[in-house]
Amino acid sequence: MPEAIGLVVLLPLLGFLAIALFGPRMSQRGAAYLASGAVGLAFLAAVVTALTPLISSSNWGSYGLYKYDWTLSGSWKVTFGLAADPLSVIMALVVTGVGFLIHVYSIGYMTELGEDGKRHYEKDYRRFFAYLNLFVFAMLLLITADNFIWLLVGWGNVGLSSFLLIGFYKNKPSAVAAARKAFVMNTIGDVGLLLGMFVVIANTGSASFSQALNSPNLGGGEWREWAAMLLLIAAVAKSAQFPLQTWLPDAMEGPTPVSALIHAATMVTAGVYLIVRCHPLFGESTVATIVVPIIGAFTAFYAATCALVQTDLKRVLAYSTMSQLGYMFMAAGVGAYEAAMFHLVAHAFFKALLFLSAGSIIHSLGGEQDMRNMGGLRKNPATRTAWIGFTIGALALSGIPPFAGFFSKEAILGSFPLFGQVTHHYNPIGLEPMYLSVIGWVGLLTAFMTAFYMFRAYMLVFEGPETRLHPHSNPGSMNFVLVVLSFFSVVGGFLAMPGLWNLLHNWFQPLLKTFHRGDEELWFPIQTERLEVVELALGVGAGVAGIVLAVGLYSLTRQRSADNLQPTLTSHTEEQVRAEEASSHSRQGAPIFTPRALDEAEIRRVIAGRDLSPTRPEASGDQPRLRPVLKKRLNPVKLGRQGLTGFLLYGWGFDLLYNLLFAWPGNLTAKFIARFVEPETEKAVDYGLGGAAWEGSKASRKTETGLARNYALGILFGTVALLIYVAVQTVQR
Amino acid sequence: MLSAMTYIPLIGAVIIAILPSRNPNAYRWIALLTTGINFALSLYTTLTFVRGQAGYQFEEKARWIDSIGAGYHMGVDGVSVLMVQLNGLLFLIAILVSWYPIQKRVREYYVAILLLNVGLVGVFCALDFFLFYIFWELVLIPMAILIGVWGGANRVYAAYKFFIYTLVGSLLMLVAIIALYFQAQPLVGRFTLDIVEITNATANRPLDYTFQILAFLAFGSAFAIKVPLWPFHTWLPDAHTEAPTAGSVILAGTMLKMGCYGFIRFNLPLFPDASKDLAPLMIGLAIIAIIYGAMVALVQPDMKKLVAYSSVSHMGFVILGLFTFAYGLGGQSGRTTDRLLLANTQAFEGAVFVMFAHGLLTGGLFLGVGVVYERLHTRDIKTIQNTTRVASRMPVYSTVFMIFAMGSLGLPGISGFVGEFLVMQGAFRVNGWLAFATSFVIIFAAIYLLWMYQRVFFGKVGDYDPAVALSHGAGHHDESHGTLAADNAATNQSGPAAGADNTFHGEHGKHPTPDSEKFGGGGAAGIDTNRVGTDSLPEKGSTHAVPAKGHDTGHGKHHPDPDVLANGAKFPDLNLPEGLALIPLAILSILVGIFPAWVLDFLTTSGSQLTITMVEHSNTLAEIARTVGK
Repeated sequence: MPEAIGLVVLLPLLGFLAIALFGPRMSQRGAAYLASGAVGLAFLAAVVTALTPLISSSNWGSYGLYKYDWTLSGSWKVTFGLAADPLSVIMALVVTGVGFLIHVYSIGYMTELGEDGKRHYEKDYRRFFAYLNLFVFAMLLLITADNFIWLLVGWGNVGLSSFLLIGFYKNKPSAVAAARKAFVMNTIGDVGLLLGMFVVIANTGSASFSQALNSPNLGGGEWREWAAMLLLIAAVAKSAQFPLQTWLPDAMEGPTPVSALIHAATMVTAGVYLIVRCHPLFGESTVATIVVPIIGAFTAFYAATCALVQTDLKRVLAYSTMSQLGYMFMAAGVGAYEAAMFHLVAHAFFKALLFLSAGSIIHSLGGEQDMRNMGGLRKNPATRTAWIGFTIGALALSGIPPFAGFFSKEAILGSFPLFGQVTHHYNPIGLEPMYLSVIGWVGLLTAFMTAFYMFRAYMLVFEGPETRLHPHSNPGSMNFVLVVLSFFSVVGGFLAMPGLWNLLHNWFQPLLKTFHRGDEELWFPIQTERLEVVELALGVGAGVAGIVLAVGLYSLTRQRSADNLQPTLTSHTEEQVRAEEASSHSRQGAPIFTPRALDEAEIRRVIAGRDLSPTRPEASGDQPRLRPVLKKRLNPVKLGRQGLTGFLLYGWGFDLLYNLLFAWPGNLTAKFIARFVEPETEKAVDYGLGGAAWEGSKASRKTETGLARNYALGILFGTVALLIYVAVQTVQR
Repeated sequence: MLSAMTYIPLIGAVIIAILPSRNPNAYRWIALLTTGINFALSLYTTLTFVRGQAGYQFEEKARWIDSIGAGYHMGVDGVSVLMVQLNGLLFLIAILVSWYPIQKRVREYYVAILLLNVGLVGVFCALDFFLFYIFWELVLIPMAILIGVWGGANRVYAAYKFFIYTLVGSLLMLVAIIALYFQAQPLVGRFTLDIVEITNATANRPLDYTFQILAFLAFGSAFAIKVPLWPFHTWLPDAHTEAPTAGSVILAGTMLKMGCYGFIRFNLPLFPDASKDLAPLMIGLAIIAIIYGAMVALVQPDMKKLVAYSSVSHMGFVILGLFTFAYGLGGQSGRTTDRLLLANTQAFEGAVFVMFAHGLLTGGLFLGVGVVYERLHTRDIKTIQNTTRVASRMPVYSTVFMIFAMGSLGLPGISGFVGEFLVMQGAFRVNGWLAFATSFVIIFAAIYLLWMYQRVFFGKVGDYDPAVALSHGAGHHDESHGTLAADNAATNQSGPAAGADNTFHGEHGKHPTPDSEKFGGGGAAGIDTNRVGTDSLPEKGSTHAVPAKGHDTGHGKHHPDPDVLANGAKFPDLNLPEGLALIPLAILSILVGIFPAWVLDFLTTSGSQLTITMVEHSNTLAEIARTVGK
């Protein structure tokens, strides 16, 4: 029943409205159950939609359901509808499925262990679930829209809910700043989408995907390129790709379930979704075909290098997400849409698993996110499930068979001819094979780095000397979710088994447009017929090599000397914020720096085995701070390493660059206008008008001499002038 | 009907003026009743308005001053009925939010505000130049008085500036009206000031081109000052900053629309050739206004100034829409088909939609600023940031304000988006770069509104300064349980924020005594040093009966909770009148955003009607229309 798609969208909205309107009358747990239930039911509805036999047949353009005319203007009506086509349904399954699991996880995660040993709900518990439902609704609106305008509505509102959820800890300045940064960056994307949409609408006269994208009016010319480039801005901003990538690591300030849901599994994939949705537009655009894979490959590489040195567990995962999204862009850019979607689905499972495992660890350590303060957690029974989950997730991400990531990543790497074979399969617009080959090698290198940083994180968290922090066990609901996601991370790859079956291909077949070059048919299936042993071996080999290197390096260095050069990270953890809030509401008004916080600083020193600068009380955690490098002897090798680490730690300094290029000049310009131009305008207009009147009156005052002869002269001149005027008029007639 | 709507506030004003009672509540109730009736009538007009019908409806015609050809002629079309509706709503809200804040010269205040209402309804309904001019000038005086008497510290200067600026414009318009009166005489066949007659008479015999240009400029400068269009906008931030909240709401909500309305009613249909040829100039000014307003708003330290400059930016969109519409009529884009451009009514409809949505959203933002100002007596963003975290104390209010801010920055789904979308699309059809230039403003708007929102509502955790907190918000220790009840009533209809924060809220209501003890650090410091509005008295509303307890306990103790003012002043969420004003406005902004057809249906006929008028009334346009083969 494709009609069930209506329920999919409606249920989370109802959940949100119910909590928003009647929240105060609900119990905390009731609100959480309501929110989870709404998304769970939406998932069931999505399954019902997916089961419809209609999906596998005929073309997708006819799937506009629940049509509604949105009169925009007398001359122009937009017919809205919900699309229940292969793409939207598979996205809906992922969003509601993973969304439901994360809702369930949050029921436990958003509590804290009180001093009395009981669990307490965090402040704003109900609001958290209301926001989560709002997000799921907006995301579903985005993916089920069958036209650009509704897509934009969803697009903007996922930005809003992301803003609300990143800044959920609203008393934490770094979270608030991160929320704003994310929103502003996403607004740039919104503008791109808006303008791209204008191009499409102006040329085709329609906002509906099925009509606009397949319209011959879009042509192959300049306008297609413009539309593709503008839509690409939107995709890049939402999916945190270069050059609009800087918001994603900061977005980790939000609660971990939010990071898992929004900033790993669903919202950030909207960019990939947009490209696949608009593939008739992108696929035939020359510039997009060249630019999108380059952006993807560069971001994949860039983010992987940054992830190599991060000390915050969640930031590692954030960079990793960015990197994996880069893979999806690579695939989508060269037309391997199936591979991109495959990786999107698989990644949603194992990245959510990784985030939630990390969240479990962070939660049981009372909010500690710094990996250097962790260690030896494998042996601890409290974190056993998280250990299993993280390990499976890390293996899947590293592309080790038979985990999901292996299949999806190979599908992407297989779309690039590593050794420059020329086959039309890969080459929609006749690109140089060299170019595709280079991108393929970058992807391979990134796969190696991916495996390395994941197992570096694994070694730091689970192996080595045991942490001094005392992990406490987590609620069963959280562990349950980890188990379910682990299962899907293992079997998710079986959707497309090379050489055996390819469910995804059958699924997407009705959707994807076939491109032609001349009379040659271009087709980008996931490589099912062809098992290229060399490429496969290279892919797996890169992953294994990364793992071996990481494990070897970090088990050999007992003292974590590989991280020797790490700057002191004074992170403002979630726990500290909670402690602050708790203290601020307690009757005595306890000081912000509880004994616990001091304890942490102590632990930090002990673990590192050397004197780190103590946690500075005033330090805010929005950025890790570099310790001043003041050594007696300058060691160039050491300095170089330190410099490189810092460079990577700060994400190649893009924040600084953008501040220098845009934020500061913009601010200065605005200040200049407000301080100088505005008063000058005011003066010019006010005194211009006033001054003219003043001068005019001064001038005319001089004629008021009071002498009768002057006035008589004036009368004389006037009369003469009048006479001449009359005379001229008469003559003319 | 229209006359009743216009003069009922006048009757109310007279009653208030001669009422023997000295009880300010009597004035308030009468004013509320009057504007309530006015609102009901405007609602009735809107609902019974026939949308598809061309021309004016609810027409009232009477002979008046025959010797100069002035008649009494009222009527509304799709554009003006929307404006009248908006006006009715905003005046009701303005009366509500003035309930407690205005404690000085209450009688005069309500007389002034009701007279303002008369003028504004009249301006949108009048169909005779003479009548129109009377109402136009009638608006000016009460507004200047509102600013000058109940305004902030610099109110006299602002009132003068407002008065002189708009008066200069009005006089230019008067000259143009008189000139038009003589020019139209041969066309109509007799001297008349009837707008409809003159407009119809110019249909087949367009006005002289030079005259069109001159008259366009004279009318245009009056309207441009009112809009206000760069560079005539400098009166606006001053007027807004100094005006009382209700004044700002009316100013932003409907008075600025008088200018836009003037362009729609006079400039476009009467002077189509001039509109078309001067469109590049107007579009240029609009683009400057849009970007300039946003740039200046980026660095404003004062909440109200920030919103005022964002208003400049948004009103630029209206002008942009109107004149891309006019420009498009020429069909000179080269890119898109000329047929599309000839019917580029989207830009027009978008422009009117922006007028409506801006009334709701910016009205809401000004109301919101007023709410904060009532509690903290400052609008300085940095000071508020260092003083308190509003979001924790006023969850309902934070949610509502968030809706207005998001709407104002063009979040899809809220009414602000639809208008901007249509205008930008109309502009795009004329020239893609216009849309590109204005699109930056959406990013700027996101930056400045979020910047303000986060600072005001979330405060700054680290830099909490009890000394600053002490000096602010002192005038509010007479908050009592009476308002708490109202408070909770408002909470029940609240948004998501309320739901979650309510635990704290409820606790607040249940245990007043320990609460005030807890927050009671240094209650002796009652002097409000930073108070801007020196005349506004501390609140002594009727429900504010019981003085707060616990102000004599626990002196000088540093309180670590930045949510609470150090002197123990409570910080109530929206009180009943504020809630009644803000929450429906927020809901309406969302509904209009989701169902824009409610508004756009009124405009479709007006848009096509205007297109036809403009094409018919111009030689060149008619020529183009023929060649394109409409």
